[in-house]
Amino acid sequence: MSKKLDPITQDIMKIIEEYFKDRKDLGELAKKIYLIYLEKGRRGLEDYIKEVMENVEQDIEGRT
Amino acid sequence: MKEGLKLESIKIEGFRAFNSPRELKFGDKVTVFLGPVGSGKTSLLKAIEFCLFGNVSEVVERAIKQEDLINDFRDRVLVSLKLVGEEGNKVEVTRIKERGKRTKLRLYINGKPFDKGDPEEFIKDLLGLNLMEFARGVYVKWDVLRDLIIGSPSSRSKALDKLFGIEVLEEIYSAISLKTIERKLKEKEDEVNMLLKQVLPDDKIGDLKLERDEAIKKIENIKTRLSEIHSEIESLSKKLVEMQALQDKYNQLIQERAFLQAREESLSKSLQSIPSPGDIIEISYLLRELKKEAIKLLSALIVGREVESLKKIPETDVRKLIPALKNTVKILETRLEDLEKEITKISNEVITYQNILRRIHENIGSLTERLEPLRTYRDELFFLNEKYGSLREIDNSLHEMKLELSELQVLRREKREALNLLKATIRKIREKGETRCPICGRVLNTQHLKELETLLDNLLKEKGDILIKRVSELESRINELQKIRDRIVFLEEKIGDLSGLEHELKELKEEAKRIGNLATRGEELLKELQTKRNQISSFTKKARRIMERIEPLLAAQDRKKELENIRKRLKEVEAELEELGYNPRLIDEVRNRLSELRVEMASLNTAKKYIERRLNELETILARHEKILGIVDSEEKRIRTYKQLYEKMRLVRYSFRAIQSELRKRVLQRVVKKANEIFKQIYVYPDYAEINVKVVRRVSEEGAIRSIYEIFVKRSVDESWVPMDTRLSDGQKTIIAFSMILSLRELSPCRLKVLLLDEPLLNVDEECRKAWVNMLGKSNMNFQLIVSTQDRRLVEELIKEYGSDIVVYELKHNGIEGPIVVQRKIVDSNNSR
Repeated sequence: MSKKLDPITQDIMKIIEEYFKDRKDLGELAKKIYLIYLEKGRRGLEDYIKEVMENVEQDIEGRT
Repeated sequence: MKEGLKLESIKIEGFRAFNSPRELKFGDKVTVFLGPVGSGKTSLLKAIEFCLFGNVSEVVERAIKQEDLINDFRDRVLVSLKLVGEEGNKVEVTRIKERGKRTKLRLYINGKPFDKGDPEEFIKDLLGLNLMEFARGVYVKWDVLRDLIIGSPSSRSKALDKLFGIEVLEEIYSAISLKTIERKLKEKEDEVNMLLKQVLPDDKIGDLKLERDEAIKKIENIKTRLSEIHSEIESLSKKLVEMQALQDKYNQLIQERAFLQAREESLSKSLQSIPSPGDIIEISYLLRELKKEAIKLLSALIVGREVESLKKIPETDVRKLIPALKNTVKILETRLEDLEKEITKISNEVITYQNILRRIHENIGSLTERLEPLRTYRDELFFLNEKYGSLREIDNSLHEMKLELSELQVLRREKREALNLLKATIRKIREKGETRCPICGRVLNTQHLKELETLLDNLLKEKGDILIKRVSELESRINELQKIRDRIVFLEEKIGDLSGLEHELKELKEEAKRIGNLATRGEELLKELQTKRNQISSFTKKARRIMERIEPLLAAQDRKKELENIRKRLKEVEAELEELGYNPRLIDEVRNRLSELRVEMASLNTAKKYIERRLNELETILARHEKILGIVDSEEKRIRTYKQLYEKMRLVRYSFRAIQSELRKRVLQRVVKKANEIFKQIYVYPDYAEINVKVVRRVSEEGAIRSIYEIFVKRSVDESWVPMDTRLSDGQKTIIAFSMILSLRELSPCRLKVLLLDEPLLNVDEECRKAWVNMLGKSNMNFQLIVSTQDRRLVEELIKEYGSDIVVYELKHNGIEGPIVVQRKIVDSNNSR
């Protein structure tokens, strides 16, 4: 992913921020998902969701 | 480097349709790849995408695998692109991909290898876009163009969404799979329900815990009792060891007492016949005599040390004297053996001397006989020497005589020759009257004849008398002397033997005397040794006899003493037994107690094992129960987290739909504005003045609500907005579509000043084609246009428009080697006109 975002991506980032102005955590998640998809495509996004789910498993194991 | 970049050349090998290497240069303005279907046109455009980003959008979208980019007959891809900047900087990007391996990147900036960080990031930064942005804004595929120009409103909307980057949001919406999380949630809930079925009721758990605590208490009690038993066993074991030691001592004393009693009885019996005092006095006397005799003998044998030790022993100390005498007897017996050997040796020597002496006397007799005749020769020699002198004098005389005889013989020969000459001369004078003298050459005649005859007579007289007489005499004398000489030589030789024999005889006599002396001395020594041997032999026999008598007496004395000792020891043993105070009953009591304790201990251990086993079972059940509760707890926490995650993903997923609408509005606003600028620039006809795009919501065939773009154009005549689809020709639609594409390209600030068009005008009519080419010529586009097409007429139109500014490559099929690429020569028709 280029460090400088293209105008459409910049627009999308702004819209996401506006949309989730009361839920910044969700805003960050949406941005992350968008950028992962741009960078790594559908498979990359699926891998990310799997990773998040694995983290849920490991976090709980760590706590217990 | 922050400057616009264009493509200079490409090198391609092993990529899709291209097997053998090819290298092509791009035109500064327009480059066209012309060829039939499957000739490799699209491969060239894909190669540009692969080289710049290391991948192609179809691989990212999982339409194909990266390995599919490798030519079927090759195992390796190489694509190299040269780019040139507006300020003259040069960039060379090379990608190498081998089957089963990762793609390698080589990057050169102005001929130098790049070494200032991540080259992939550098390329993206240099170009100002990534792969997806490239696929959307730089590389426009035929299906997008087709949908824009002649597609249905739905397909046109999809194409525009793709160009605007909005389609990605829809893709993300569908890619966020909530079902995965739902499935996981379901799994977790089922798992928790299953585990909850295994959870025991609280009263049951209470009973088990109670049983466990009781088992622990029982085990503790058993351990305490076992510890007590162990201590008692230890104490009793120590006591038993002590008692066993006492028992051993007791048994030992009893055994000793029995042995002593038996020995006492035996000794008492054997001491019934004790020797008389008279015997003892006699023995003492004999021992004294024996000692004196031994000292004398030892002194004679020069054994000083033994003599001294024997002398020191008092005659009354029989016990010391007897071993000393025994030792002396032993020494003497050893000496006796030596003497016997010495006597044998000397006896043999004396016999040998006597034999030698006899042989010497025989030799002396023989020599004396041989000497008698030799002495007669010595007398004869003496006589001959007296008469003729010594052998040397005879040799001198013989030598002188032989010399004289030799001289006389010479003289006789000379005279004979002179007579013969004289006779010959006389004969010649008588025959010839004269002749020359054979000696001086003088002429002799008859006058000299008489003189010569007188001379002849004188010579003949001399010959017959003196000379012959003397020669005869000499020969006789030499012969006689020679015989005498031979006799003297013979006699001298014989006399030489005589002196040798006389010397030998003398030596033999001396040897006989010496051997005689040795024999005499040997005989004397022999006698002396024999005397000594007889003395020693007599002493040892006597000593042994006396010893044999003394030993039983001494043994009896010893036994008596031993008996006294035994009786004393018996009294001591009895006293010790009494003092020991040993009681066999006590040890049995201790043993019985120990046995009882061990039985109890075994029983307790069995009980302890049983309770421990039960305790383990209880602990396992309780631990398992605790574990299940723990798992249930953690799984419930997970379920809560998954639910939170599901809710978040659900909200985010639906947000992408809302974001699409908002984005569409914003993008459209910018694109329509820019597209109108371009449209006004390239559309020169007065009928239509402006473009507008509206978004309407419609239900699709699948029943889903979709946003559809409707394009309107402002009619100049009445300034009303009419729909593009129903009012405009395909040519006009083409111009509007490219206005939008170019506006998007203009709005994207990337530094790669290139536009790739893959089959831009597929299935369009002549009017459309001409309109598009005309539009390109009129636009102020500052992009490098790279077009792939199978439409020859389109190429002809482009050549007409661009002249020598266009580069056209014609591609033809060529089997497994890959396409043949030929650059077409362009004649600038504008210039020629």
